[in-house]
Amino acid sequence: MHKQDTLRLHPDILFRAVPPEGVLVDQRIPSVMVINESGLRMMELIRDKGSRQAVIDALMEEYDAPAEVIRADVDAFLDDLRNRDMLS
Amino acid sequence: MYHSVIRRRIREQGLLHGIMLELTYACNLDCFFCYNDREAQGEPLNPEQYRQLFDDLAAMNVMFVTFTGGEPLLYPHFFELGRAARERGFAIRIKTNGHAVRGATAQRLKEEINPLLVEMSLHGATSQTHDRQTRVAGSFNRLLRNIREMQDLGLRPGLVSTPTAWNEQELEAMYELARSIGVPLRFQGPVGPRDNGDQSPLEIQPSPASWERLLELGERYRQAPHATAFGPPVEETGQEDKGETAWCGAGSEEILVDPFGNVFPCLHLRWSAGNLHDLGIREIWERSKAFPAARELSEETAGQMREKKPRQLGAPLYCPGLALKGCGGCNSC
Repeated sequence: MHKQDTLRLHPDILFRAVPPEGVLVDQRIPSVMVINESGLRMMELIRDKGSRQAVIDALMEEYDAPAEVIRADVDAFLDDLRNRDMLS
Repeated sequence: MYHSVIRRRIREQGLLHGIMLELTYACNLDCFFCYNDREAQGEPLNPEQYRQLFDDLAAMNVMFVTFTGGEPLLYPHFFELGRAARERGFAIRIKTNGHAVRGATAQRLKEEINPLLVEMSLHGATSQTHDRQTRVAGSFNRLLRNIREMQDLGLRPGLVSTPTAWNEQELEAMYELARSIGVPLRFQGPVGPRDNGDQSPLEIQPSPASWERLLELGERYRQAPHATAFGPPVEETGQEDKGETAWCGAGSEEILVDPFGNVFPCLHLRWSAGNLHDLGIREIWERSKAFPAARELSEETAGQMREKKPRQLGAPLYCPGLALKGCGGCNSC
């Protein structure tokens, strides 16, 4: 369980949709990466909602999947972002 | 993957990915081979029009905004525009001569805009050569001082150079200089005529041998020269797309807006696509035939280059936009 619910992307992390995927720029390296459709959606929700619970709630509205699966996917994605120091 | 998936997709889907904004043709240096037409006239875009442009570009999912000139920092509302672009989530590149990027200006650049890249021109490895091309005494030493200051502030400086007859003896020294100060350097070219057709910059083309030398150096320094004035500054390292059918990003990767709102498919391909005083960027992007025509030209060029080696103005490169300015494709220059 993530104790810190508030989410904020690092200011050097920028992204845009290039349907159906997305482009992510990490200004610190610098590098341009491709993120898949679900990753793009989670990045958008982190930016727009700003909290882990709000991201999970939004995805539960959008996807017909068990809550525990969505929660696990979100946490795994957030762990990945933290490992890359993409959350501030 | 960025190359193999995204760049191809934006072209095939007709998506706009980047835009270059020439904010002004004013400059505080006087480079001999500058391609700008400083006599160009028109009604400049105002800050409100730029804000509307940024809103539209964000809605179109444009990723990159490049500020250039002339010297973009001389545009009176530069920081206002930079902040507006930053707030809308663009990755911002600034193409500047670096002469004014110091002190409070450098600090504001970091704090207010936080650009992906501040790319500056390097004209030589010595003050004698650099200042000869910029025609401003002291510009070389000031550039190096300013770069150090930018690095201390956490800005991301980059260098770009064009081989000329005046600096061709310093190509390797420029690479070494860039390496010694920890700044990436790329070469571009060839020198082209000015946008008003003035051919005088062509007087300082380097020798063909220097281009060959540059290719050798590029291998050593892992940096190939670019056949356009502005190549992509950052890319994920990866395999090129074997099925890629375009020669360049004209009309897709980065379109151009001049200080007076005229929109073009790329820096050198100045086919009028519309004017932002009359239409919004989305309408221009969706309606103008200039962009698909540019993409078609790029694909045609790619087809031609399968049959022959690129060569233009003595360089082993080819820019179809420069060719339409009367520079080439032939093997005679």
